[in-house]
Amino acid sequence: MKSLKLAAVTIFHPMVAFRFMKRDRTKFNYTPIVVILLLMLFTKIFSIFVTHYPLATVTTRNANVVMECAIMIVPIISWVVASYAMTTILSGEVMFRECLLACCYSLVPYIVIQIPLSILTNVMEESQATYFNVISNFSLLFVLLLLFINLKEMNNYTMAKTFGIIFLSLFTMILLWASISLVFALSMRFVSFVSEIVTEISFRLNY
Amino acid sequence: MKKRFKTCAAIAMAAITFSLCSVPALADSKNFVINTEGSALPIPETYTVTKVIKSLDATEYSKKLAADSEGGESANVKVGFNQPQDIFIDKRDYIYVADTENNRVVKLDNNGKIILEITSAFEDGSGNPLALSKPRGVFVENGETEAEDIIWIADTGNKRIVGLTANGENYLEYGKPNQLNSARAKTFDVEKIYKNDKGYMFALKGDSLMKIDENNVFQGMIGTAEVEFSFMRFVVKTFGTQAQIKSLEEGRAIPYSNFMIAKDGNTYGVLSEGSDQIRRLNSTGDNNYPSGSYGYANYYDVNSADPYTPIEPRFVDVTANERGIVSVLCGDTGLIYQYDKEGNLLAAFGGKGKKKGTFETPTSLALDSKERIYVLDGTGANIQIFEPTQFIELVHEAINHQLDGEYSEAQEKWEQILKIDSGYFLAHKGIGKIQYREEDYSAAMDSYELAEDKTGYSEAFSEARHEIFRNYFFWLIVVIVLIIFGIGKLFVTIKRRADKWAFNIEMKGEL
Repeated sequence: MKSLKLAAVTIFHPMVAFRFMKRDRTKFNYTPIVVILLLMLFTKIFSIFVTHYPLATVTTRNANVVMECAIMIVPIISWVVASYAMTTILSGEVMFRECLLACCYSLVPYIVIQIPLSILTNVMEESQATYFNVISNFSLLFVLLLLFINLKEMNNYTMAKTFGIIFLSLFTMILLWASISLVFALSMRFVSFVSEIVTEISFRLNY
Repeated sequence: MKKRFKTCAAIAMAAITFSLCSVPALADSKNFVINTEGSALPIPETYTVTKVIKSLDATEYSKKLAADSEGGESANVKVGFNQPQDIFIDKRDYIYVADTENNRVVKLDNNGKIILEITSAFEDGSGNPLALSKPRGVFVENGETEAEDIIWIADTGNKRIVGLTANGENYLEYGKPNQLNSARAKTFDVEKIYKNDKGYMFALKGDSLMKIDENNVFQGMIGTAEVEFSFMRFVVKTFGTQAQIKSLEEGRAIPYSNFMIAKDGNTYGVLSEGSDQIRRLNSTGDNNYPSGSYGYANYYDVNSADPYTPIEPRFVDVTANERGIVSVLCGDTGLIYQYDKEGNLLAAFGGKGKKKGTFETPTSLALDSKERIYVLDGTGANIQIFEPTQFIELVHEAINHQLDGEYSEAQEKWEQILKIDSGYFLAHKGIGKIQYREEDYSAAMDSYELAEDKTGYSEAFSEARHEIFRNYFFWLIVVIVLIIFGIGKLFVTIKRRADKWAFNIEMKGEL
């Protein structure tokens, strides 16, 4: 109940809500994080299945649900990690879990707008795609704005510093993904090397 | 044991019958259509090669030549092609090939028997016959009888167009057209020619077609392709100095690679790159073919190592039948694409290779009176004759019925097609169109969705929506007003509560 109230406050008075999240750090609760992330996935799947055919970018037949979910979740998590990493070294004031919580609350407008919107598309056709795109982009913009505000308010940054941190966080995100893919590629090489040796040896032993 | 053998035999028999029954060999077929996302989807076989003309039959013609010549010497007629560049099929189904590197044009029947070989035409300055030099185009004007036919040859190396009679006698010679301005005259390389029924000769010339009248007077250029917008040019033109603007090279339109005049009176052309490569020019020279990125796809060969290779087509030749069905040939991939009047892809087939049904460097294609497609392979030095299968014939029939307004026949054909290939987009689209016409909008919507046609779906949907609106106008208005009112009320309530909660947080530090 308290989380719901907080979600409403996040939409109408984001600064107050984010300051409260930090101040209330003793009573920290993981439930809203899990619930919001699950709702986020639900919204994505719901919009894939409910959005009217001429407006859908992904058709139900070709939809890869796991892939779509990954596309939703991975950027959020990597943003949280990257921005937390930046705030810890640049005089930030939040803990990781608070950063995660604030980011999750920032996603609420997306959920609140996308679900009714995808129902509404069922009375729209291709030529009204502009309205659909405007509302859809508005929800994304709202989310971005909230992410900006939570970074600024929870760490007591100035405007300029927030922009700097955002820039650095984006850079960190890229670096993060570059290194992950590098490690992945190298370990795949190693795995294939080992498996080749195993086949070679077993071949020698057998014949 | 015996019983076991029996069941085995039964299973084997069943397997054989089953494999024989699977009529449309979808798995073997390399034919495909392209969906809206640009992926290639297999369809049943549409054209099969029934004949390959590789080595020509010159015995009879040599004998005739020997008999005609006074000394009785035997002429040496080459039996193979060498990099042939153009094929033309006249109304009598004779095949004419511009055999470029052999410096000749040959007339064949459809078994590959040489009927006429043209190696020279008219005289040079000193009165000797002037041999053809790298002819790259041929066109035949059919007269009342076969003897009245006139064979027009684009004698590219000699920069002239020559006309000969059916016996190979000189008829008319066109040089550089008169009244052609000097800049254009400097590069008069005639490659592909066509003559329309009003007697105008058309020759391919870069980004447009040159029109020449019967007195060899230049009559203007038609079908000029638009210059593509370039951002760099725009920036320089807007902000650059005079000198910079001058140094800017002239914007060039994409040149034509080939063209033909179809029986329906339209001129069909193909550009050599970019999107909108297919052009249909009406009598005034305006392009009225719908624009689209024809031929682009992500995938076409299941067996290739890299099946997701994107295809960027470069069309080299085009041919159209009298109902406006266009077949275009892509030089790089060896694929032949067939489109209808509205730019819908009917089928794509062919490919690169040395097998039957594939090409090494295809250069030209033509249609005969039985709708067979003849494809000329330059490096492969052969002509392959593609016979339409029952499937594509059904598609053509359905399209023709639809064009003629015979909707019930068209629907019948489309349904037959769907029995062979239940996913064939065009059939769903055709049925959708008919259902739309019959005001069966919800069925039309389903068909359009199967056809992956969002525009068609939207049209049917808006009609259906309109119908609902008309029937339940009052109640709908009531419901809409209630919903808007409800949402507004909800918004205001939540906003008030949120204000209160925010105030609590600020003042008491509690929610």
